[in-house]
Amino acid sequence: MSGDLLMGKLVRLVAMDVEEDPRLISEWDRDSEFQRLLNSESASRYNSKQVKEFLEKDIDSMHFYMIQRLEDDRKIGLIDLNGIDWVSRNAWVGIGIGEREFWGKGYGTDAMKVLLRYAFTILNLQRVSLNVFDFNQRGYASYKKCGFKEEGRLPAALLKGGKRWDLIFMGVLRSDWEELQKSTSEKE
Amino acid sequence: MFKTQLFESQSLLLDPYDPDKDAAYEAFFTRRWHYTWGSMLYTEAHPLSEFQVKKKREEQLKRCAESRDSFLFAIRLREQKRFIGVVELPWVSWSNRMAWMKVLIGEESIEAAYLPEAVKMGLRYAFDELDMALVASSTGEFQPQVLQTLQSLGMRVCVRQRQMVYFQNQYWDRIIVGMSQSDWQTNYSEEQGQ
Repeated sequence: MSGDLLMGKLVRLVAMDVEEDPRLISEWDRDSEFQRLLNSESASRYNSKQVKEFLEKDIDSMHFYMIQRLEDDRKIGLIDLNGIDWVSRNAWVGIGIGEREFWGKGYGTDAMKVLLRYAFTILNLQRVSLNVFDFNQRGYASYKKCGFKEEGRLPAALLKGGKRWDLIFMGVLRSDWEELQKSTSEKE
Repeated sequence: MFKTQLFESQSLLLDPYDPDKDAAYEAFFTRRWHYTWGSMLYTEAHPLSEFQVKKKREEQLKRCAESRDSFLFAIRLREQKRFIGVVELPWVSWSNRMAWMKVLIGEESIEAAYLPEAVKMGLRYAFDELDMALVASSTGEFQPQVLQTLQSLGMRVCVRQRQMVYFQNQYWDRIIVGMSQSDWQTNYSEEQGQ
């Protein structure tokens, strides 16, 4: 394993720069599709000062990282582990690629793999959970690749673009993840 | 004009939560792990003091008043006005018309008798008053009687989050149930109307 715990094949996860990154996030929010893929609540606009205040308030209760391309150090998205329950050893993950030109190119999958490795081998978590919306087929397929399994869905729980959509619950257990690592290394 | 009352049922009242009076009883309820786990007043489930419960509930009531995206009611027996638990809508998503609901009865000995009635009051409030399209609730695999009650009222198991809860030296699944407004209307239309 590399000395950098949060390094993948395409990206590294880096700590947030509270002065610069809120401006980036505020710009990404202009793309309402980005927001609709990321949040279950209604899309809105927040200036960089509001984003900064939100992040400063919550930064101690979550692991929040920016996703940076290895190729040119460009920050292209964000990922976080939140709601960590240290008794049940569960956490929730949220991820978004803000730069549209990098959608569907494997950066999100790579970032998620890095975060799961961190969650299981460093934080010693037992499971990681996420929600995905059923219009986000690309995200769903990516999470499957990382080892997440669908655990059910709340039917028609969300309203986006005037239509109702299912809220899908996915989870990956440490045992799922270990099995996937084993089968991947055997193939390689 | 309306056939049903929102805050009164055969045996129960949905009342304002009074931190000065109810917190002491609720602190006693938190000695029961199932209650304190369900209440999520603290991340780690443990018995709470009256002071801790009062502080948490006062903060919650303040949020309820300010944001209007959560609701908290005390459940009382109609006859003695005795506080026996809470009905909470800890998060109402107005843009999605979806609400999460928690119904907690403090004493195990009366849970079976009053839980169904209290859950139904919570559902009625969410559907008939707040016009929610979906109400969801969760329980643990270690509470089969609670799950059975929720299902008997028409809530459907939608999600089973594997090994989500650690309790008594083992992992248990967290089960999420849901009911749509159309299911509510189908199941309870006879009780509604004008």
